[in-house]
Amino acid sequence: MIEWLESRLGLRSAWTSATTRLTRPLPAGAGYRVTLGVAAATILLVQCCTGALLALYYTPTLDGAHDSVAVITQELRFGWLARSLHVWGMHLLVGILLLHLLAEFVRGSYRAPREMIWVAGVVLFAVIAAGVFTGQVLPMDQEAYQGLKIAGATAGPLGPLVIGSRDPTDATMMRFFVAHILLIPAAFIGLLVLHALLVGRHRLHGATAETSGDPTFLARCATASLVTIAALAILAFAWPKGLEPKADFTKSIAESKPLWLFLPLYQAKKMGPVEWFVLFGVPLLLVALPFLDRGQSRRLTLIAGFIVITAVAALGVMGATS
Amino acid sequence: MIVLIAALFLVQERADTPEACMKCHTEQANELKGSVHARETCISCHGTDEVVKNPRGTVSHRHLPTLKSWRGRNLVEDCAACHTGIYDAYRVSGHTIDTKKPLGEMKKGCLDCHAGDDPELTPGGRAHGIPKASRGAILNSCRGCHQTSSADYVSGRQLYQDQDVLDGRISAIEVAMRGRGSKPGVSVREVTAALAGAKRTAAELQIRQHGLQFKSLEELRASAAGPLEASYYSQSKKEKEFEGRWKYAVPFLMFVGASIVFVQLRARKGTT
Repeated sequence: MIEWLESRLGLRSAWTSATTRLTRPLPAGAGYRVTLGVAAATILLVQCCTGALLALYYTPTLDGAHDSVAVITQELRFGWLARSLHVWGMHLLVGILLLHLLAEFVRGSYRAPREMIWVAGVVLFAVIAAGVFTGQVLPMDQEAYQGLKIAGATAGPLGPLVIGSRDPTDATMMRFFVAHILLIPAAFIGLLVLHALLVGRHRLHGATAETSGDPTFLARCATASLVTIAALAILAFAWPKGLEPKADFTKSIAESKPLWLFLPLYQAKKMGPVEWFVLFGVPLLLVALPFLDRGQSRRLTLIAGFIVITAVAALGVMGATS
Repeated sequence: MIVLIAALFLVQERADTPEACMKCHTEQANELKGSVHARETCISCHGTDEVVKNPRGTVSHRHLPTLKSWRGRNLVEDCAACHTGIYDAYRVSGHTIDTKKPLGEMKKGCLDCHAGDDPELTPGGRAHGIPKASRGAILNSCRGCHQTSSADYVSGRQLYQDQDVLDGRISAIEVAMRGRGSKPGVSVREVTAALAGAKRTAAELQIRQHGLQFKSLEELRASAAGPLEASYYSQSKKEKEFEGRWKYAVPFLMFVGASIVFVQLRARKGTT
């Protein structure tokens, strides 16, 4: 077991190779597809910077949260920009990560010896989904309140652990704030470093001429970063994020749609056991994928994969149109 | 004979409950419906306790004053029992009715304006709802004594016009501001505060106008209208400024674009 971990993770040799790795030639044959991960990492960096700015002015109390977000969005100079970048960054990040996941699935990049790259990536995605959810609660508008109630109900006996009581309190806000700005960033930074180091260790899948030293790969990564930043800026400037009215706890929960990322789950909740498949089955399948598919039948994996992807996407579309 | 009359009185039944009155006076009952005055009884304005039911089942209320005969007293004290603010304002106006003076020497009272648009104030008119005084009814009432060219009449008319302008601006700005509170970039805090202030002032004007102190009323109106217009103007200006936010994005995007070109050119140079 330890031998296996060492051979895959190489923690001992990681440090010694880190310095040489940064200077060694990059593999050839890597198109723009492989820059998706770089684009996602770029957005994570933007999220950290804008998030830090937002955290400086945010008040994690039930009463003060919405007001402080209103001050950020409407009164603080360029506060709207920080928040719009943060919100659009979230949309773009999730979209790019889904594409990244899909692209690497199609190419079979998760196969040995790259299993842990894939697993780290899947866990990273789950952590980012948790970041999306906790971040959505922080402005404490009606959507946040409803999301919180639904999450509390979904968590069942764990619900009170999340919310604290029937209705959110100051403690709930502090919990979500700390999770959003401390625990989740710590988790994704660790996972991202692991993910990147492992890519460095095992080389990019499909990289053939390892010593060609193709400099355009680095250029492509830089270009991908810059294009991502430009796209994010255009989105934030063109459609700056507003602020819905403050949550009214006396209003009963009306049917309202969650964020698009959670639409499949929203639809599945109405369909009994399907909920458990989306909530646990799909993540488990994703994590287990490298260990299920050991290269026996490429076609079978792709067909099975696309059935699951189509099913989840269909749930999302149904959720959006219902 | 005396015994007979006494016996008649003994069997008489009081019939001064609103339910009893409204059995016959259905029109008045309808007018009262939905008015805050519906909780009053008929005799709280038509005050008497002489409404009795005769043994034969008919109701006698010969002495019950109708509005016409009651006009001299004009109910001012009755209204003042609840509408204290208006009464306090009204008392400093030149229209205070001296209820001790005989009929005919009275100035204006509540019902001169608040009895619907019917200048005749006929009993059974629309007066029972005690409607808000329309501008027409008020000015009509003014013209009863004042020349239309007189300073008092002109000032009063001007006051009402200004008040209408303020009310109109409040509702216009309120409609214009709808949904703008959730937009980014500009805070609606100032306009919201100014609107709330103007609404309070407009409500206060509604009460204090009964004093007809035109100068202080005009000052009060201006104290609300000024900040309202100023805050709305600055709101619109800030929104226009926010529309121009691209002037910050363009240099940044140009810089990013130049960086992309630079990276690509260098990469190509490196491969050749």
